Amino acid sequence: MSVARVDIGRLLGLTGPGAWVLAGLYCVTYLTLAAWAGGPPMQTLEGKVALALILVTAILLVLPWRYPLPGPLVGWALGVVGFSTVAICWHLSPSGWPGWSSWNFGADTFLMFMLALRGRFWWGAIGLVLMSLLTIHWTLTTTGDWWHGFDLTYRQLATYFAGGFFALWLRRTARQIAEFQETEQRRIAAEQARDSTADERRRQLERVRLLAGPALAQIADGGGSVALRPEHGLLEAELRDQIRGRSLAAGPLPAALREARSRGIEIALLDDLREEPPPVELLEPAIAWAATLIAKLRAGSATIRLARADGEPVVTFATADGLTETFSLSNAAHQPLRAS
Amino acid sequence: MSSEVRGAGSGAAVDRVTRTMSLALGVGGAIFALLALQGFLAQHEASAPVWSWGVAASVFVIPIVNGALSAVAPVRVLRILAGVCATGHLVGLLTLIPALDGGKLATELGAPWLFGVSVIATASAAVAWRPAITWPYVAVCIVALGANRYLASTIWIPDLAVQDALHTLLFDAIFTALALATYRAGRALDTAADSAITETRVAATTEARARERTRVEALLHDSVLVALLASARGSARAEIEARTALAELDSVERADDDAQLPGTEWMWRLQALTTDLAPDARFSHDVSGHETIIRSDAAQAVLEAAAEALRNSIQHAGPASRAVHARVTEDEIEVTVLDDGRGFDPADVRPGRLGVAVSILDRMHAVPGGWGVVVSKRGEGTRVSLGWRAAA
Repeated sequence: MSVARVDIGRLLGLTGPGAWVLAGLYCVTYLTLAAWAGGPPMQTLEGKVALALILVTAILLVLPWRYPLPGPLVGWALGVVGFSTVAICWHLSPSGWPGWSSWNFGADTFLMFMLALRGRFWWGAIGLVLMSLLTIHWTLTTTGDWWHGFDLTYRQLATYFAGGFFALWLRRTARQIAEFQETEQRRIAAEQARDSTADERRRQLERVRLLAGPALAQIADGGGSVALRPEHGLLEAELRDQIRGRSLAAGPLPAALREARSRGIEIALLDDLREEPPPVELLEPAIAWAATLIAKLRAGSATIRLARADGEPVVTFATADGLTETFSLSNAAHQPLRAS
Repeated sequence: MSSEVRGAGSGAAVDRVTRTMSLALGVGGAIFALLALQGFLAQHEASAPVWSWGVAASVFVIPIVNGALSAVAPVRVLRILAGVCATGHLVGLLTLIPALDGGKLATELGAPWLFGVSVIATASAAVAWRPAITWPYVAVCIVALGANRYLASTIWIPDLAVQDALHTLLFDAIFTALALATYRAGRALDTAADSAITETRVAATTEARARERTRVEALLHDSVLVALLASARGSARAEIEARTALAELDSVERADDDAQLPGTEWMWRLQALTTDLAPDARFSHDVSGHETIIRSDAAQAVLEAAAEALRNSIQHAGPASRAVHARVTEDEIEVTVLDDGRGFDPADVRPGRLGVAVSILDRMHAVPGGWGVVVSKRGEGTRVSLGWRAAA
């Protein structure tokens, strides 16, 4: 969710099935009230058109528009509020309490509330003020009493502002939640990275110290005798394998390589898939296979390489005398490519 | 009382939603209380005082108190208060007729004042309870409201009772649905946050482990392998190299990545390193960011990679003149190691050679904001450019 602009409508599912159920209830309620208690205004064409426009607008406002609602739709909704207020009020008796004959006030208020929920709070407020002013104008011109018009509509204004406050505050809360979650994610990432870095460093250094620590200490103390030189060479090659042949330097292969090198065989272990290593369970048979081949070598040099061939991970075993064999990790099978 | 603080996910969004709903109910409750006040004042003497004031306290006062406490009270308290409001309203509806004098309300007093605050009570129910309880509650309230409207009237008004109940149903249903949808959105945000946090942890771990492994591999190449190889070849430098390797292992173990280094200090270290490794190299610098602060791990990575570039030049470039140029700006450091020696064709470098790949390029790429470029041409020399830019 974007922090900059939170679509409350989408967040609340205002275009989802629940919203359509409520839109249906809205239509049933106002159809019932208008038909049952609509009084003189509903005997007129304007009254019927007002009802139709209000119901159509209610449905339009549940459709999945962009956030905030497009201007033309907002204009349409305000036009419907203005028209329905005039169409109904002008046929009401200006004296006394109209009861459900003035059903349009509640219906228009809900339309404006929907504007507020869909990012047009102030336009909704303008719509309600327009409704109130038109009603005041009607009572003022027909009876000279502006208060009666206000009395008919101020509850709608209050209801709108109570609901609108909820919409505005909810948007603020949603933005805060999104910002909070982003901050938390950054904090957790940093914390996790710090912990993992320390842990991995300790692990890697332990590994290096275990392998090379005694030899380094011996050399540093002047104990690097001629007799130990081959051993240091083997150790250097083993550590190099761990860097350059990362995924392959596991299982029985390091011991097989050491054994072969001590026989004078030159071997390069290469891993071209360092950044995206295959799963260990796929590698294990290939490593065992390579170790077996190494054990059979009696002289010369060889290269063992983990790479991709036609998109599939393979281990190739190539010797200086031209023998090349491939082990496909996907098929867990090997086949000689070329032998001479 | 103190507000609860939770991390992202783990119900934090639902907690915030409860606070928002409580505040909105407080504001809405105050507005609807004002709207219903006239009716209450007109009708309260028509019913038993205990009923009038008891119900008024639960539906007028509690939402306002809830709103006032929304930022500070524990979420559980806010939900309990909302539940008290909803329960008080229902009790009021179910006992209205017995509480009224003669079971009737004078026609001129209009509809029972409880009609006016029904929406606050049903929205409170959504805050307090699950949807499976809230919706039946709304249904019971609407039926009770309609029945009360009809039974409390002194005249025959079944039509009006149904119309009032129908409109109240719409009104209450819309706000209750909004409240429940808000909770659902809160739960969805929590679920998304939980999932994002899990992914973040995995990604951060993977990245950090890979970075650290590269760092140790570079160290291994620059010092440990050099020492072992020197010993294997019987070099006179083996002893010194082994001591250096052990010292560097200790140094990496003790390194504090959160430490920072001023840009100028980094530059002087680079100059000292150049003098140490290649005394004949020409060193120049260009400092425009005197206040620049560099992360310690980045500063160290650039220094180590530059050292490897110099070692490579000395070892492989043959007779050549060398130059090192350092640049420090407000948010960036850069070093160029240049020689006019033999040069090489990168395509000819054997895969097993690790100097450029691991000790220079991988090392620089492992640092967030780090970069490295090696340009060389046979017979024309080599240029190694390394740098680090602070995150925006």
